[in-house]
Amino acid sequence: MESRLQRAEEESIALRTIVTIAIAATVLIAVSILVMSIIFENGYVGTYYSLAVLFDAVGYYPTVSVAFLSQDFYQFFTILVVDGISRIILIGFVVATVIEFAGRVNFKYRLSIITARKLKGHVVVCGYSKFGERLARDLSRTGMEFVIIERERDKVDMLHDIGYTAIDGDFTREVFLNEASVKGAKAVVIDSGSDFEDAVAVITIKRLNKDAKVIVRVNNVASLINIMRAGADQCIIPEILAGEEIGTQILGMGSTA
Amino acid sequence: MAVSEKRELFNHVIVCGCGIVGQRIVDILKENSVDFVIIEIDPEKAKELKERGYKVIVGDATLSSVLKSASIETAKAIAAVVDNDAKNLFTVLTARDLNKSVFIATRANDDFLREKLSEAGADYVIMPQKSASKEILKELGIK
Repeated sequence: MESRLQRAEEESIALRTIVTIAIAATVLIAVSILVMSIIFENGYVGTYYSLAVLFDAVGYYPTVSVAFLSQDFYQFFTILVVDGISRIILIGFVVATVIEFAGRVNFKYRLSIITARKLKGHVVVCGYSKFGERLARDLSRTGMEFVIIERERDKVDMLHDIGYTAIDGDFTREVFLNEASVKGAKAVVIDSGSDFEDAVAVITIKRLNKDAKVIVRVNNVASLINIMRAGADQCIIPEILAGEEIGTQILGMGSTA
Repeated sequence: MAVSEKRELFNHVIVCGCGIVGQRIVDILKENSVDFVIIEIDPEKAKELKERGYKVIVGDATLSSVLKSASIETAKAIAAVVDNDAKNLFTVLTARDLNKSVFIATRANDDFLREKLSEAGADYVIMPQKSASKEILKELGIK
């Protein structure tokens, strides 16, 4: 929860800084153009035009030596040095600052949040363990929309990199379940590794969406009883399923060695 | 296990490890009256299993001597299903070495290991997490 708040705060500061600098740069450039136009009557265009006419009438080399003595030349030179270079420096500073602060805004994360909020009829996967990983892969393969809620920020960043919609947060809390649009979800699959957290998550989810099918991965039969009491629609013990499949395979072999 | 019990072992199933997976296999074999023996490394668990009437060998299933005492040479199938990929791999290798035709079933925790176990000689490799995921998709009506 804390890292999430810190990140939101950093992003907010970064965005505010970018906007402030953009406004300040725009104002500065506008003021400098205005000042230059007042100080030098002709401004950029006028001065350039005068020099162009001179070159055209007299030719390049004579014009250069004459130009050194002309007021237009010195006006143009002053504008170029004072105004032009200072603008280049200012623009450079603005671009560098925008790039630095833009790097602090996690666009993939923001995109994930926006995507998650629009989901409906999807599956919410709470916890990205080996089981969650397998399930996400299978859901992805079938084209079923899903969002993952995972506590560890590094895992969430990795999930964004591989193209999954993921939220970092505690799936026992309403605020994160709401970000995952649990109210419109078809099903929620939970794998926290802890009976207590599983039970809390089940109770919270059922309060937000009593129609969603809640399936929990548990480790043993004792856990299964507790979680079913909390209101889960189904509990799964992967190892029991594995045992059944192997047992069935062996039975189907026949009697020869 | 007594010598007389050992002589009776023929065309049986060896279950290596009696955790959740092993226990489920044992239940299915018992329901279907298939002869089996359990190899269990934990003496306390082994004692408990014996008290329930099962044939149990206390030992490490990765060792040839232990598999031989479970009559691997005349077994029809062996299930290497402890919750340790390395142990399962070594059990598969040893079992295949001792009996070229025995059906070997095992479990793996990821796709990479599943391939290795098959290469090592396993005939059937199950991934519990994959089974669970398939079951969930089936429950949700997703194909």
